[in-house]
Amino acid sequence: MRGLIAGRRAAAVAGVVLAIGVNASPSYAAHNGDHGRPKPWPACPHGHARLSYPPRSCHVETDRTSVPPGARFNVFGLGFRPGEQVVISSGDMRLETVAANKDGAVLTSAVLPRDVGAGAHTLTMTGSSGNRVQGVITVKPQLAASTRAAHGSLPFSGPAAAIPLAAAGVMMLASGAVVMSMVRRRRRFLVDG
Amino acid sequence: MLLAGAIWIVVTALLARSDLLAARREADEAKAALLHGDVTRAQALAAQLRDRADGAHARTTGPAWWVASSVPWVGGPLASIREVADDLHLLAHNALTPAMNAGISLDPDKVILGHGHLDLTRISAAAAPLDQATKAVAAVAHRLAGGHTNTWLGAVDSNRTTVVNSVTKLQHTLSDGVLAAKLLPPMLGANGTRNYFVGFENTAEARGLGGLPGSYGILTADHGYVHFTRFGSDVDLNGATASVSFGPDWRARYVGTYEVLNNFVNTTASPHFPYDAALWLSMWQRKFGQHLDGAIATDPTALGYLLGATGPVTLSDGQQLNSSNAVQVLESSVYAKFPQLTPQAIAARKNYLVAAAKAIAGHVTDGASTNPTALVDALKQAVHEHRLVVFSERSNEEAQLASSSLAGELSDTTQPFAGLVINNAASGKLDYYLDRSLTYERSTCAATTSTVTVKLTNRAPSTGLPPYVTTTIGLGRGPTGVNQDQVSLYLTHGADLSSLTVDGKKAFMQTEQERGHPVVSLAVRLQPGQSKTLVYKVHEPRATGPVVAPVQPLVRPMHVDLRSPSCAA
Repeated sequence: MRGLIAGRRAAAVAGVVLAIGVNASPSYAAHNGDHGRPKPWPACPHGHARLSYPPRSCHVETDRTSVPPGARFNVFGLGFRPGEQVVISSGDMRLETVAANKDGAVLTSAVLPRDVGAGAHTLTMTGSSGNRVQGVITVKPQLAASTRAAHGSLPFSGPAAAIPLAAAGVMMLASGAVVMSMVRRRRRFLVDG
Repeated sequence: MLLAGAIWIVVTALLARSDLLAARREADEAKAALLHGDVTRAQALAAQLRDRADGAHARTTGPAWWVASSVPWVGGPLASIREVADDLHLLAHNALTPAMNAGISLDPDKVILGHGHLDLTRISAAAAPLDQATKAVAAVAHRLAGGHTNTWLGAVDSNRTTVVNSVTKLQHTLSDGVLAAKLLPPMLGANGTRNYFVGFENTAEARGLGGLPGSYGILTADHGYVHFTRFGSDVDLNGATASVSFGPDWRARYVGTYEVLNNFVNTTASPHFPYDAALWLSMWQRKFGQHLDGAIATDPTALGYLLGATGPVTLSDGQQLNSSNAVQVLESSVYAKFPQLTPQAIAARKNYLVAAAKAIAGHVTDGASTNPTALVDALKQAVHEHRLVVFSERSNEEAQLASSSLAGELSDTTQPFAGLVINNAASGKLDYYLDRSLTYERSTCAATTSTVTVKLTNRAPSTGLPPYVTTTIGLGRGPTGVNQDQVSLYLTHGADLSSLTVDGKKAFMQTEQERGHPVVSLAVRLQPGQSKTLVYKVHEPRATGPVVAPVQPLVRPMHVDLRSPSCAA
């Protein structure tokens, strides 16, 4: 069963990328199988008509596990009726609506609003027939504006923080050396004198 | 005067070294004597060992040693030698006697009585002395970890490290012994009958724990008498449902895709055995109305180890099973014997495997006393490779088990982590031919991007395999040898995947969590002879100890290469 799903998914990925020209790279691996031929098979039969042996692929996949706030990502799902309208949502937020291709697959890009909280967000694809698959993507924490202003776009890292401290340390050592040198000279002067 | 002192120190140091080397040799001999039931010899060796430790201690405690070892920096190596001699002296006096007493009590010949009978009284009697010895060794290990561990003389430091490693290993062995001495009696029915579900996994069809649970037995233990009361195949659990939950992460990962609550053959999808075992117990209770006290999982590789200790067993068709052919017969040639996909052929094959499990179990329990020492070694090997794992339904017992590898837990450590977990997604038996390798690379202990490279190869021949091995359920096509696995990589707590490629191309993935580990999964299809390379780039937090890379027990060994600096906890 998975073999069929895989072949179908591979073709679905390639087909959708070429057809709708989303910003998914054409060099994506058809990793869920080889670049095989599409096979008709209900990947996620509605109503759980049979047990998942072998395990079936009823979930949303993404091309990354986490994104910065407001960043666009590519999303893929299987198990829909060919041509049916599929709504991609996160909680109550509707992100995209696209039609499933002839293999019942959806591949598109989506974006979570910039003001959603950091952490894991469940992505849901719901077909007009009622078929539904889910997956998760994590939104990274947004850097505070003051931090960004002070340190550009890079996070304020440990080593970076250590640089001024190290400089201060070197300055103190140098000062100490100068003072010691002066003390020694003074002693020598007193002894010699 | 100075020269005489220096000569004295050199001579006594060499003599102390000689004493300590002899003590180490005698410790090994004493252990071997105990395992062979030669108590008199073990006691004599222990007395010699104590004398050696006393001698080394005495040689390094005179005034010359005190003065020389007190000199800052220069005296460091001498101070280190004094500390090691002193600590081993303590070890010999505080840990040796109780450890010997425990060893005498746990003589395998006297504990394993044959015909499925174990002497629980002797096991219980070992608990107190083992506990005493463990505490003494732990105290010495703590002392050795401090003091002069880094001196200017590398040879001294190196020897100290060897001693520390030996003492740490001894501490773990004794701790495991304490655990066994405390847990085995109640779990083997010292206080009343216990019943366990024993799942026999088929690792030719991978599941997260190891393999699909194809056969099972019900093991009954009553006052140390152990026997199986029932055997069966997965068919018996068809339609069984479980009522358990381990939180939203577990539900998201296993209830939807794997349907573990109502699909017995997927119940081992998680590499965390306590989850899987709870599913078995719940399904059994709801289907057969019998409350079970725990569960055990094992596989043909482990059964092969046991047959190595007890000798071969002959099945009803004349097939002899031994340590070197158990896996091949039970996970490969059985499919050539019953190659077809017809219900009759499938039923005949399942019956054959159940009969084999019954024959092996009976042979091992009846013949355990043939070579008890070898049997203990075989069990240790199986536990070490996670091919024998145990779960107790009693929370106090399970909490104690959790501290050992016997529990089969997926560690929730925050240390750097790279866990490759395969779940078969084709329903064939081609994982018998799956080769795996994992390389983990990080250049610093600070927060960084690590690279995990996984290579998978399908070594199945392209022709000649039976249809049952190669055919995917529902396809109805001829044998091709194409395998498909759901490949999951468990990452470090708090890690974030920045990219995943398969043979150099970006890939889509599913993201989940289990026991605090981010889990990244994708399906990988492999033609016969084909390899695929998965490269994960992972943003990791600061390392909090050495890299942990558990190995899923499958048929073929997995090559693991960890390239990381040594990072403190």
